[in-house]
Amino acid sequence: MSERSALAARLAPLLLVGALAAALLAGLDDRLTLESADDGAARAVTAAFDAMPDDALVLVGFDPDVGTYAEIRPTVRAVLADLLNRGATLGLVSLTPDGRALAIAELARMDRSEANPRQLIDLGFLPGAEAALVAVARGINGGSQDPIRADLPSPPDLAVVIGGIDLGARSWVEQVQPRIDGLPIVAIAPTVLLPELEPYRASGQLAALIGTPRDGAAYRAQAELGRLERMVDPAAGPSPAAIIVGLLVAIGVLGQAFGSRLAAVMRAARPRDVA
Amino acid sequence: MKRATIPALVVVVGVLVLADLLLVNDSLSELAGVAIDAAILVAAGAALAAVASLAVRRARDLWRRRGDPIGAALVLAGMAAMLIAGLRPGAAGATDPAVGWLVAALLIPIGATLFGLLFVTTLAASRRSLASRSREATVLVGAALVVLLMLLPIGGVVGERLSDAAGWALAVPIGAVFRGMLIGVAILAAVFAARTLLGVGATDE
Amino acid sequence: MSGFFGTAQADQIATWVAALATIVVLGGLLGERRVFGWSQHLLAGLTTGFLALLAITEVIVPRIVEPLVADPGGRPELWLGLLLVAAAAAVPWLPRVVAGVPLSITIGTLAAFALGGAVVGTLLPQLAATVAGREATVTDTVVGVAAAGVSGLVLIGFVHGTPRGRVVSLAAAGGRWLMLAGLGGWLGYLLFSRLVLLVDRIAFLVGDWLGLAR
Repeated sequence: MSERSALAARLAPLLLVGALAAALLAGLDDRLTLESADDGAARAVTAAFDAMPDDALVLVGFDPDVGTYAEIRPTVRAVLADLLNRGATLGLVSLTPDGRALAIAELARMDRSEANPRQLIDLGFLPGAEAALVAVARGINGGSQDPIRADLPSPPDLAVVIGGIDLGARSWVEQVQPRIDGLPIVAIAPTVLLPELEPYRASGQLAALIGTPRDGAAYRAQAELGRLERMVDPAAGPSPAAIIVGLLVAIGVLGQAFGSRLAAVMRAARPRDVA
Repeated sequence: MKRATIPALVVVVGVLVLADLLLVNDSLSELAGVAIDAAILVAAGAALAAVASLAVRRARDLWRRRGDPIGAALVLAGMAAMLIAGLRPGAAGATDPAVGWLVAALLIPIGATLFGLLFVTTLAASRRSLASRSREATVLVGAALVVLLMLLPIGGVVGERLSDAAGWALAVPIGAVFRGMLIGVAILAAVFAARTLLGVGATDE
Repeated sequence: MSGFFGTAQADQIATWVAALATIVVLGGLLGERRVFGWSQHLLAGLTTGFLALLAITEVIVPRIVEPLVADPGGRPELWLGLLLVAAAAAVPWLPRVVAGVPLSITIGTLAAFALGGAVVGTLLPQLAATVAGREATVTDTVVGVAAAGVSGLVLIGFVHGTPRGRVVSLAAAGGRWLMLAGLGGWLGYLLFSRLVLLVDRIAFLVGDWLGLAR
């Protein structure tokens, strides 16, 4: 690598960060929209919430990763506000340290906002991944002496799984669903998990799945949060302008390399054709 | 304790837990519950073991001035800060505001930025993989390019078409590929788990 | 806006510390590896410290220590639980036969959960979902059959290490190329996901910290 290209390789990330910051500051977001044109995922979530009885109990598996939480954070907050606004009681349980750290932060945040503390039950942290999931399922089925069941007023009507890379909706489908008859699961996951979870949504094992910021934005646009609107920052989603700039950079960088590779393949094929 | 006792314990615990999933029996359920509670306690103990092991290793590095002493000191400082914040007299454990402060001010920003950084490194790695001139890399990056194009959040008719295409691509071709992989992973996981439970090792074949 | 910070002075200090930490990690992009490495050490310390804190305050104390203190003789199984925790915590320093007990419990339960979950939660429902049925339109039916074919080929490619026979070899090779294309699609989602995270951190710097945007 020449000195010049080494310098360019070193400065490229700085230029990218600068371009993203410029896109954030350009004030274009009012004219752009992040919402996906296909709002099927958002409608499925709303339908799952509509199907709950009045004063429902929702078990929230809160296990996002610290690293990827930023992607789903606005949607998670809107979902929690939506459920609280519908009068549901939320029982939050975490099975990963990251999930517990973020659950505590979100509970503290809700405590500072207008959420009714009687609608929030902190079920704490259980280690052991699959063993913990099975313990949760057994606790729900079991008697009132179980630590999980003792804190819940009734068996849950719905599970909302806020998942991450370590533990998420797939584990809930494999370990909890077979043990609790008819428990619908709504999943919120970072985009990177979307292809893995899509088969579970298609098979009906997940009642609904929000797996991209665009689906999240479509859901937030539909959700009626009433007085809890203030729990959700209206400008919380990622900036569409910055996303477009970043995607164009990625498409440009990969497209240029891909084009060069295709051109090289074609050049290599040509002499053989002539011969 | 003989060497065979440990595999036997694996089999007993595993079969017990598996039988509890398949059969409805109160006594069995109670026994399986004991095994599951034990697994949770073991996980808690193992977490302490991992932390203690890391602390001992880093303290030894620091003491012998081996490797990066500042790095070792920072590992120990991070651990100590968290434990003091949550365990000092009068603290509320993990829900203590001091712990929350450390999480919000340091844990989340460092972790989240690290993942953000991966955008640049993954992009660079994808580009480098094309330079290797392998056909596999060309297919891999070509498919990634198509998905990136479909995810562009632009408005108008083009945006709608891209959004529809993204939904279709996820539900049909990508969904079908991942369904095949999930079934494959499930088969392999089930076979491996069954071999473990039955105590079948490579030497038994 | 991350929304993790309030308006108190401690929150303002936290915002500054978080901004500094963000800049240090972003510095890794520009080749500043030393300070970047220290930030990773600090993250490792904080994460493991938090893990230990959770294990102590949310599992061992409420499930074992508190009930034992309240009634030391009432529940003898709790003493066994305490022994188990101690054995698991001391695994690196214990003789193999003693360390084997907590390890066996972990392996046994893990294997059982993996087997049960894989078969009941994934294998059977996903096999059922793969079977293509008659859809509303002919196009949908054809698409369903094609998707089932793709899943089948990928499965053959995934499971067969060294396929025997020409047909199976061809199917496995086709399945592997399809799998590669699917993983390429996943790479696209991965890049999108990481981009959103990078945008969030820059938005934190220019918005929450500098107060310039949104």
